[in-house]
Amino acid sequence: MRNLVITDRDVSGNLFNNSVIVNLNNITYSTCTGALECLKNNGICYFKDDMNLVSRWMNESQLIIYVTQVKYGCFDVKFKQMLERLVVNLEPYYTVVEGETCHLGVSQLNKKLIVIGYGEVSEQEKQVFEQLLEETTLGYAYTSVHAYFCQEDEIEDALQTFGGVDHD
Amino acid sequence: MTKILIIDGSLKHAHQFVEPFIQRLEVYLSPYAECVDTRVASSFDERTFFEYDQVILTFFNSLDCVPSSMLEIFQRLEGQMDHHPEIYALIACDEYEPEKCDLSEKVIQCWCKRENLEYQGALKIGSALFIMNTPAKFVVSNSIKSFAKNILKQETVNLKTTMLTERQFMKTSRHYWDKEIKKKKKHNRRKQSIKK
Repeated sequence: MRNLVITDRDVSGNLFNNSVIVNLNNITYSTCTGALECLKNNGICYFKDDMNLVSRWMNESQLIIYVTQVKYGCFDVKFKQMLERLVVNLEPYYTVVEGETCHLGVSQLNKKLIVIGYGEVSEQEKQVFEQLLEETTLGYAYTSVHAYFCQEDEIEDALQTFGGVDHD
Repeated sequence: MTKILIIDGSLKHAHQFVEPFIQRLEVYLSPYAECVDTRVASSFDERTFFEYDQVILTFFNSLDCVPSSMLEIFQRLEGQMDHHPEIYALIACDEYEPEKCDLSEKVIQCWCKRENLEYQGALKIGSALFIMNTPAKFVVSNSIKSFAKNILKQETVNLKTTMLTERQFMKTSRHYWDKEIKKKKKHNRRKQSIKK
């Protein structure tokens, strides 16, 4: 597994020939309960659903592409619910990285993250979202994190730009 | 005398991490407010939101941001604002730095801006998993008291509190996780032996 595309809407499969595409509308997953039981249980989640596989793929991928609606400078609910389940990929103990305490990611494989955020997003919300990406990737070995914003009807055009980004 | 609503928007089982803070806040608010009601995200009826003068959004940060349960409430309330209560926030995170709650605050501000709500400020609590088991709990209580005073006076507020030192945080957190992991292993072993 090298590349992973996680999307909350349909995207053209032919744009990402070398990636596994996970459409959140086509998988089933429960909402994280936030009890942090997985951190106490060696990263084993209480729920047995599609997210067990997706969280493993997240660790193994070197290029991750998110296609998500952005609301209030944050991920949309469905996408956020998916991300919350990825807490299984964190170590329970804290480490100081760049002067801040954080949980380190279990996988320290070098990764690149591209986020295509769509929706009516103000300048302030864009800034907040970019800061959010910076913050959530702390503790993982992300070599680059990029966010691109577009309107919902422009998403196919935006994806055309990234088509082939997952090629060697 | 004002009507105050506290919404605990944490994920289902993360309520336990903010409950001690909410209980203290209620104690400081109750004698001076007309009513103080607390609701959790799962059973929150958005129609009641408009019956209050002040709303305090409380939650335990989830992946450095507002939890999905709180975002769901934001979406449910979207475009329904005929009454505009003042919005306060009590945000807790498990890391040492209360600044880790800043992003959540910004998301709340973005929501308030879209919905034309008056955002009045927040109390941010770091080291939330263990702080109430350390001497720093008195510091937290004082911060919550100041926060409550600001709410009752309808003033803007920006408060932060955490454990006394980072070194103490690292030590306490290590002890906490060691204990919890041990407890979980013991529980798993017992479960397996019952199965056999």
